[in-house]
Parts: sequence; structure tokens; C-alpha cells
Amino acid sequence: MRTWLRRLWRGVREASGDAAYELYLERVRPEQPVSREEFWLEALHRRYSGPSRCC
Amino acid sequence: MKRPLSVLGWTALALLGAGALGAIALGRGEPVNGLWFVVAAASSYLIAYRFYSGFIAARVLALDDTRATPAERLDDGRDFVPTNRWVAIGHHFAAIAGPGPLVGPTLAAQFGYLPGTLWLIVGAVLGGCVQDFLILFFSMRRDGKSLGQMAREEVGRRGGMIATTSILAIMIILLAVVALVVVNALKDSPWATFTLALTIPIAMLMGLYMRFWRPGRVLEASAIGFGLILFAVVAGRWVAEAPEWAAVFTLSGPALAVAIIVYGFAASALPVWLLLAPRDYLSAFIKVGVMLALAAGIILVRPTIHMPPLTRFVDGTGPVFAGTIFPFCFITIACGAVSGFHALISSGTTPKLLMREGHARLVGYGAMLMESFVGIMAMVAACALSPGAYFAINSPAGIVGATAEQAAATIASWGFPLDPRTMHDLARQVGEATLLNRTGGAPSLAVGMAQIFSGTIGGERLLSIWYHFAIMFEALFILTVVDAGTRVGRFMVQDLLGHVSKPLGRTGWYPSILFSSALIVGGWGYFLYQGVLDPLGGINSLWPLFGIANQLLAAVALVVATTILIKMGRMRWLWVTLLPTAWLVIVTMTGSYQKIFHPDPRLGFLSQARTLSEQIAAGAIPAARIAATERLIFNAHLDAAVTALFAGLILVLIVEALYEWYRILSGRKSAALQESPYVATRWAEVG
Repeated sequence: MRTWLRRLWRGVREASGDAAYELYLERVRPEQPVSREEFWLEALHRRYSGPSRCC
Repeated sequence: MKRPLSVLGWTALALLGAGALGAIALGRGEPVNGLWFVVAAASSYLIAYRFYSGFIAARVLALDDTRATPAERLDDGRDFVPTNRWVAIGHHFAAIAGPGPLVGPTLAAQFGYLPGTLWLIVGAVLGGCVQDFLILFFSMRRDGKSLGQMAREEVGRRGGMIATTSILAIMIILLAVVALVVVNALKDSPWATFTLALTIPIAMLMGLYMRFWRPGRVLEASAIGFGLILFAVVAGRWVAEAPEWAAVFTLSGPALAVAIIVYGFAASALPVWLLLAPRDYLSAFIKVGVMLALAAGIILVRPTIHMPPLTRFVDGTGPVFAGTIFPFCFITIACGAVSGFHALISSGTTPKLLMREGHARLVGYGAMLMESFVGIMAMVAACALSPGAYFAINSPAGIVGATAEQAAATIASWGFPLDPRTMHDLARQVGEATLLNRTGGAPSLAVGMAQIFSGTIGGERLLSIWYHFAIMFEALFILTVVDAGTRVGRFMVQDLLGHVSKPLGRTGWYPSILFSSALIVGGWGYFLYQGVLDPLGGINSLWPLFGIANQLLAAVALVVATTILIKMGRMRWLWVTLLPTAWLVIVTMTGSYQKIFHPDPRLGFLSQARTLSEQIAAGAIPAARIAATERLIFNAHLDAAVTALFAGLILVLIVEALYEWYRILSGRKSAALQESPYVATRWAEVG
């Protein structure tokens, strides 16, 4: 049950974008990572430059 | 042993689905329970997913899990991010689910519950899901290219231009019509207007929180925002009950239209982190939560359906919108069955997230099934109202009259008994001055949802809170579509302007931001304002126009998909895309022709313009109304021109595609696909 809840929470964090910065650090392991704030602003710019919401 | 059990299980499910469909289709004279709709839809979806999408995945597309997806090959932790399939479907569903599947079925309920329900299921299974799945897959094979890019590369340059032009045009009509739904929901309602107005500072507070205090902490900010939104819903009642404050927030249609136009401009021009993004996060959470709650509510309350399976309005004389069941039921349902707009999402962010090709089936086909299910729930909520109340809420004053007594007499003459006191009582219970003539679908859906929710929690005592919660929910995510759509439209306009003047093409240059925002807002704002002033309620003209545009965009996507299938040599399975394409072309061409040329002035734009001109010439219009009538004549001509433009664009694309198909099939052109080269996956097993 606890494992399931942990997975669910992780899924919610990933789907919502809450965990995006941690995933970026974990996966890309950049030598000079951008700050959390820069990462957030970049992500928003990318997301809302193309169709992101539908009818 | 496993196989016989599986066969038995699927056979039992098929029988259950057939029984439920039989109960809703063949029941005559006896009230049907809303639960049958859920069972019929869910069984059909499961069977379609298991067998039809499985067939498409294996035989038509031949999904290859040994092939690395762009998310694996190009993983940068930003654009291309390998994502668990369940997270990806959540992300994709939140992006595709909009107001369409809620409003469309509510409006189409004027034909009775049966035609809309059947089309929601059949249209999604054979059309909408297929389109979403194929475009997602083809975009994934091309590193996440957009529909416009794929059209240009696979069909030809003209095809690409048509796709891009259609997208911009549909965006303008879409934004106008959804904004009109919000205006009609908030008109003369201080409670709803106050609650929605408060969502703006709440979103800005969330934006500041995620920008400066806790960068990127989406869940924390959303939790705070949700708490404040609930407070705003409750506080709306205090405002409505205080006469001096109620007067401030009681706005007419034109005043609300201007407010939304100003808001749309601000949301497009302001930094994205301040208003657009936080509102979008909040809206996405509430949207998914409310849809789950509505499903649970329908199962728990099991509402009785009061609307008959078919009404007399299949003949085209319906008060909610004009037009016969064919083609207007299919055009009105729109997004819940097939949505061309989904092709933009399926060729946007989602293909860059999938970890393996096989996931395209769950995400593309599965998410559209969920969207169709949202449409089924909206149909249940609308049809659970008494037909008399449904028509009183959704019909314009020009047709049923502006008082409860007039409306009751008119609606009773159609065979739907309605006691005027019922409308007074219903309005009082939901905390509104009146529910008459609240066209657009949102208020009647909110009443239906409030009855289902209050049947689960709170009873009649909480009906007014649930009603305003439902209105807030609808308006909140409709305004999110307005924000995000205006911004994307702004980028498209800047892209076009960049060909004329380089600085105007710079997306970060503020004069260009303001100019292009004004152009796009002016476009949808004009249609919104004319809709608000339309004596037939605006929805009568604009929703079919939106439906036609949306279904035409779906035809564009399916033509692109068919071209790619031909190039892949899958001639045997071309019917998978040709069948829905042919249907969409027949429906939209018939709809376009009728909207332009039909002799009934309520239906045909040109006939409406002609009738009004004749009335002016005959002196039947008072002098004070002549200027307004001339504006209506101009708008009718404009609507006819826009409809003709949509139809013309798709016809040119079809001719272009047919020529391309002929050249490929006759060997005059090589069937070269523009796919990215095969690279084997490094992941043996991925989740």
C-alpha cells in the first residue's frame, strides 16, 4: 500500500511538472545546471509557445 | 486455461455493453437510468481499445518497441523527456480535454439523448481516437513535428499552408465561441462573476509564489490556489446577498464581453508566469478532479434521464440551435467524438514524452476515449434535467420569451410541460435571479452537475454552492483556453508578420507583442461581441461555425494520415482513415452549404441577411434599430464568408492530396517517407 501510494505521489508530481527540475538534474546530469528558477521560466516559455490546451 | 477465460470475459463484457446500449436505444415510454449510459460507453470503449486499437497498432501502424523513440534518442530533460506511460496519458488528457465535450453534448441534447450518445461512442471509437493515435504516432516517428510541418512534407507545400491557415482561423472562432459560453454563464449573475473575477488575483498570487518564493513548486501553489478558489465560491454568495456589492458584479452581456476581451489581451501580453501558467495549473487540477467526481456522482446517484431518446427537433426547428439532426448533431457534438484540434496536441508536446512506440496506443487512443466519456457524462447531466427546464434555460428569449410564464407556454406547446414556478424555484435553489434564456450550455450543465453533486453531498441545501462551483469550474478552464489560445495565436501572427517585417516577427519585442496580441484579440473579440448582440443568442451562429471548423481540421489531419499510410504501403488498411475522412467531409460540406445557403433565415446566413434587408426596405424595422440591423446583415455575410473559406480550404487540400496519392500510386513520385532513421532502443524493458 505504501509503495503504491509513493508511486502515485511520484506520478502526480511528474504529471504536474512539480518534479521536472529534479528529473532534469537526475537524467541529464549537466555539468553546469541552470537554476531551478531559470529552468522553470524556460519550461513555461516552451510550453506556452505552441498549442498546449485544447477545445 | 487463460485464453478461454479471456474469451469468456470479453464475451460477457460485449453482452453487457450490448444490453446497456439496447436499454438506452430501445427503451420507449419508460424512464432510463443514467447508469446505463456509463455502462454502455465503458463497455464499448474497453472492447474498442482491446480489439480495434490493438488491430491498428499491430497491423496498420506496426508499432515497433525495438525502435528508440525521440524521447530516448534526444532526451534533454526539457523538451524530450522519457515519461512513464500513465503520467504521459495524464498529461495528454489534461491537454486535450476542454469545454467542447461538455458544451457540445449539452447543446445536442435538443435532438434527444440517443443520437448524441451514439455518435459520442461511435465517432470516438472509429474517428477521434484513430485520428489522435495516428497523428501521435506519425509525429513521434518524425521527432515531434507539428501537423503543419507533416502536411508540408508529406502532402505538399500548399497542404502545409492550408493546415496552418486553418489552424489560425479555427483558433479565432474557437476563442470567440468559448468566450461567449462564459459571457452567457456569468451574465446578470453577481455570484458567478465575483467568483470568476477573484480567480485572477488568485492565479497571480500563485504565479508570484512559483516565480519568486518557491520556484516551480506547482503542487504547493495549486493547493493554495484551490483553497482560495473554494473560498471565492462561498464568498460569491455573500456578494450576491449584499445589494451594494451585487450591483457592482451584475454585468450585462456586452460589458462582460469587453471585460473578457481586455482580459485576453492582458493574458497574452503579460509574462506567462504571472497569469497564464498558474491559472492553467489550477484549471488542470480542478478539471481532472471534477470529471472524476462527476463520474463517481453519476454512479452513486444514478440519475433518471427525463429527456426522450428523440425529440421533434430532429426536423431542424430546435430552439437551442437551428438545423436538422444530419449534419448538425455531428457538428455540434464536435470534440467529444472527433476533434481536429487534438491533432495539434498529438503533434506537439506528447510525442516527445513517449518511452516506447507501443505507448502511443494507450496515450493517443486511450486519452480520446476518456474525452468521449466526459461527453457522455455531460449528456447524462443535461438529460437528467426535465426537458422543460432544459429548453427554458438553453433557448434565447427571441424564441421562448423572456418571462417564465411565456417560456412555459411556448415550451408546453412543443409537448414538454413546464410549470413557471419550477423555473422560479430552480433559480432560487441555485442562488440565481433567473435561469431563463441562459444559452450556451454552461448553465444547464451546471444545474445538472449540481443536482448530481448535491445528490451525493449536501442535498438541496448545498445546491447553490454546487451550481456556482460548477460554473466556476467551466468558466475557469474556458478562460484558460482563451489565455493559452490567444498566446499561441499571437505567436502564429508574429510568425506571419515576420515575413513582412523582421522586427514584428521577434516574439520578445514588446511593440510586436502588443500589436500581434491586439490583432488576435481583435479577431476573436469581434466575433464574441457580435455573438453577444445577436438576438438569436450567438451560439446559434457561432457554435456550428466552430464545429465545422474543428471537424474540417480533423479532416485535414486524417488526409495527412492517409497520405502517410499510402507512402507506408498500407493500402489494405486505408479504410481506417478514409472512412472517418469521408464521413467528416460529407458532414462538414453539407453543414457548410446549409449554413451559407439554406432558405431558413435561422439557419442560412445569406437568407438571414436577405430577410433583414427586406425588412429594412419594407420599413418594418424602427429607425432606432436600423443601424443595429445593418450590423447584423454585415455579420451574417461575414459568417457566410468564413464558412465558405473553411470549406474552400479543405476542398483545395483534398484535391492536393488526391493528386499526391495519384502520383505516388501511379509511380510518378517516389513514396519517400520523412521519418527519422531507425535507431535500436537501449532499453530492454521500459515501463
